[in-house]
Order: sequence, then structure tokens, then C-alpha cells
Amino acid sequence: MNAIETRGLGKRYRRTWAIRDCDLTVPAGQVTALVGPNGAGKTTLLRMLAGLATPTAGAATVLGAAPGSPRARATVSAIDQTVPLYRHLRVAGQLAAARALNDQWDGDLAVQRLSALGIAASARVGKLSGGQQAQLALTMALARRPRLLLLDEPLASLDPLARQDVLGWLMTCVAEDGLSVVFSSHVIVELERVASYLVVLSAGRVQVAATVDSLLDTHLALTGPSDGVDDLYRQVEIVTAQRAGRQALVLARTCGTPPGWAARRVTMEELVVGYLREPAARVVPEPGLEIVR
Amino acid sequence: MTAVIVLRATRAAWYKHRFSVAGIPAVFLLGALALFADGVVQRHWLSVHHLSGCLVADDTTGGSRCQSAAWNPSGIPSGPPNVIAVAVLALPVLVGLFAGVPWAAREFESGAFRFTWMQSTGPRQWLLGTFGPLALLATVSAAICGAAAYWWYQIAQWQNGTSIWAWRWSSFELTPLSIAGWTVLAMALALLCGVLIRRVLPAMIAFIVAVGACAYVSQTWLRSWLFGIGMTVKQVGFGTTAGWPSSTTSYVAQSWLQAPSGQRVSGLPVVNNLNAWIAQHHYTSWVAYQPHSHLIWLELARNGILITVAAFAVLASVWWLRVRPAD
Repeated sequence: MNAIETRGLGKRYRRTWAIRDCDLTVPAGQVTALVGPNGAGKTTLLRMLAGLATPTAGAATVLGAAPGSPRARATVSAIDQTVPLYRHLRVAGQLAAARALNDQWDGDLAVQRLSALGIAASARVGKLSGGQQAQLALTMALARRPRLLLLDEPLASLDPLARQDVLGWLMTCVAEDGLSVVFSSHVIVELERVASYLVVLSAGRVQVAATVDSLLDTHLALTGPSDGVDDLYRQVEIVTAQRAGRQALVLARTCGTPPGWAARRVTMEELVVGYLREPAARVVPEPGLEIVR
Repeated sequence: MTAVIVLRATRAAWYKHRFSVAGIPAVFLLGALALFADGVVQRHWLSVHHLSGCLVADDTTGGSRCQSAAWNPSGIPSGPPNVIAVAVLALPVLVGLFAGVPWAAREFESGAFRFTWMQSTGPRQWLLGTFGPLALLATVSAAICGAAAYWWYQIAQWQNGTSIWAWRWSSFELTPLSIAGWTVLAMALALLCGVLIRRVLPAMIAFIVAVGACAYVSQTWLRSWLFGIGMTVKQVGFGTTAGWPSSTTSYVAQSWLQAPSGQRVSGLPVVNNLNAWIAQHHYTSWVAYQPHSHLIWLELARNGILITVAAFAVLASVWWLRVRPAD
């Protein structure tokens, strides 16, 4: 079963489409990175998948259930980028409310995690730092023992050490419990360490959706003469080319090195930035994995 | 399954809003207790002076002893009755304004609703489980407070030299049933304003406008329309009290003279002995009135209308949540 499936999914706010014609299949048991520039539709997509927003067009399923349905609510946890919490409550009250709202609740996990983070049960939620609030929200999301976790920029308010800690914890949950995670972030370097599937959204459309390994294996960063770029177009599929004086840096979908060019393996950040520079370039989901221009 | 989820949301609402949940009945019940204590003191005074019978509805104006005691109430401990009556009547509005509207709107304003909606509880269960118990609690508390106020107000009316006339707007509104009905409506309108506007202050303003409009329509149109339904019409004696309904318990809407042909007489001649003239022309006197027994039905009908409007407001809120859940 796939973690997420969307067909023609779209959401329009008045006359503007936040996301449209979104066909996406995200396999279960993976950590999926959802990246894109501001306004690309990441938050809208995650909110629709969490059942917080209704699609204007198309349909979606999360773990085979309609978003917002009782079955989906029982198995999907989500943290919105606003980190919604009852800030007038104390941490213990917030946990009690969460426990009351769920059939499945791992109280021990929540208590141990918060204790390890040094977040006191008697502390008022509103008085916690942004990072602590994010940690609290994440702890409660995981204490529900979900099978799919949707995270909208959860690391933004965390310090580097806390980010490492959270990512490590998420990886443990994925490995031990088979949890599927989809999270959006602008910090691609951190995603690279944990993500096994990449979705790039741009201007409200899915631009890339494929496994990270397949993308990295089929793309190369080529360095060579600027005047050779035009010839290169005839030899390989170029995603984007940047000319700087006599040198050119090209992101190409190819496994071999063209003559006269120096090739190296791309990083995930280069790959994402390359595709974001060229919104017309798309990589459709496997097994096709073809660049459509 | 839905009931279980609603109960879960209710339990969570207790953790989230325990001060409001405890505060609303506390305010109502303290008010009821104060009115009850004052009423007991006043009734004790009446009992000591053998005036308890004056409070029986049919006998409020009966007997000079009652009248003189009512007009000379210097010995009766008293509070400002009209102020207290208005305060009790304002309670449903205040509860809706300061508890109902913020309860619904603040969740949206702060974004905290997303926390609940991302648990195993959907928007509708959240709405019913969070808001339902609050509305129920407020309604029951208001009814108890209304019962105490109605009981207390009987002395105030009598003390002010007026009969206990249940058809007065203040008496009609002060019954436990009416206050409960207004509380249900106020809470439903609070919910609708909160869900529609999703900002506390604008929602409070919209709520005041909505409740004000409902109160205005009720007082200026609905009440008089209801009082005109199903009236009892009967022939009475002219110039005597024979056959006339009790003015202290009934609501006389209209009286007229009728010619033998069945036509209503619009004007009477100026004669020395009008009674004899009427008898000579075989005119009869008629009265249209609402007997005291109809009062409860009219009250139920009015409350039925209030609850129907409230039900529409709740349905509209649920529908709007479905149309525009969180975006």
C-alpha cells in the first residue's frame, strides 16, 4: 500500500491555484522530502492530506483512506507549520487532552521523551521556547503511534543539535515501526541525510517525484566550456545550465560523462536547486523517470 | 463510534476549558442562590405578617390587607427588582458573548483547532463534543437560575403594587423555560458567529447584532403574534364583571359590542343610560382573551421557535465547517 496517492489533486483559493493537477504516489515505509520554494503549495498539499483542507479538484488517499476519514485520522499524525497547541495549558494538561482525543496513546513514550528533553510537565506550553513547542508537538504526534507522519517544516525552530536529535529519532521510528514520514523543509542538506524519496513542488505542480537514490544515480553535475553547452544539449538531457564566463555548470540526466566535460555526482541540494531553476523540467514517477521538457 | 469520539472530545474539552466549564454554572448557580436566599427572607417576612396568601396568583389584588401591605412595603427587605430582572434576562447573552463566542472563535484565531483536528477527532465531533456540553451546561444552569428569578420576582412585582401578571413581558421572559430557550439560542448564535468569522472580537460584535435582532423581533412581533393565536372568545356582561376573565391571570386582547345581525358596533350614542340602551337594542358584549391555561403553550411555542432558529444556526455551523474546514 502506498502512503500517499493523489490524482488530479488541486486546491484553489479564490482565483489562485495553490496546487493543481497533482498526481503523486509516495510509497509507504519511506522518509519523503517535500521541497519547493515559498508558495509552491507544500503546506496546502500537506493540509489536504491531513484532512485540514478540502480539495477543489481531484482526490487523495493516505494509507488507502480518504484524508480526514476516521480511518485516516487513526493512522495519520500531522504537525502543521504553525505548531498548533493549547498555549494556555500546562504540558501535562496538553498531554491529557491529547490522550483523551485518541484511542491509541503511548503515554510512556511521551513522558520519557519529554523528560529526556527536559520539558517539565508543569511548564505552561505558551512559556516554552519555539523549539520546545515543536518538540512537544512532535512527541505528541508520535505518541499516537501513527503509520504516517506529515510534518510541515518541523525543524525550522530547532537549533542544529535538536534538529539532529529529531531526525535521528524519526529514523529510529521508521526503522523500528515501519513509519512513513513526509516532511517539508527548506533545509535540503538535512533532508539528504534521512530522505529516501524526493518530491519537488514548484508553482503548484509536482516537478519531481522519485527515490533519492534513483535521482542521484541518474544525474551528474557537468563542468565544461560555456560554448560547449549547445552541443551538450544534443548529447544528454540537460535539466539546467549555468554559464559563468568561460565555464558552465550543467545539471544533466545522464550516467556517462560526455567528452570534454568533467563530471561528478550531484548532491541532493544541487539536484533540487537545478530543478527549481528550470520549472519546465519534470521527472515523472518511476519507472518512467524521464525528463519532460 | 461517533458518540465515543464526541465523548472523547468532551473529555478533552474539560482539560482545555475547565475554568469556563466550571465557571459558567458557578455564575448561574451563585445568582440563583442569591435570589433564593433573598426570596426566602422576603417570604419569611410575609409569613410573619400573615401575607403569604397575597402571592397566590388569583389573589394578588384580593383583600385590602394585601393591597395596603403591597403599597406600604417599608418593612419588606427588598432589592432593585427591575435591575435584577434585566440582569437575569441578560445572562444568556452574557454567557454567549463571553463564553460561547470566544470558545469557538479563539480556537480558530489561535490555530489550536488544528491540534484537535489532527487527533482522532474530526471537525464535527470537535464541534459537538466541545461546544455541546458547554451549551447544555449553560442551558441547565440558566434554567435553574431562571426558576429562582421567577420565584423571587413574584414578590418584587407584588411589592411594587402590581399584580403577578404572567403576561407581562418581564414575567413571560423570566420563566425557567424562556431563559433556557434564550440560552440555547444565544449559544447557537455564538457558535455560528465563532465558526463563520473565526476572530474573537468581530465575532462578538456579530453576536451582539444577531442576538439583538432576535430579541427585537421577539419583543416587537413574535410575542404579539403568538398572543393572537387561538384566543378564547366569549360573551360577557356589559357594564358588569359577570363572565369577564380574571384580569390578573388572563390576557384580554380585545372587547367589543355586537349587533344582533352579527356586526360589530363601531360607535355608541351618547345616552343617559347606556346599559339600558344596549339591552333595548339587544346588543351583546364580547371579549377575546388568552386564558391562563394557554400561557404555557404559548411559552412552549415561543421556545420551540427559539430552538428551531438555534438548530438552524448549529446546522449552518456544521455545514460551514464542512465547506471551509481550515483554510
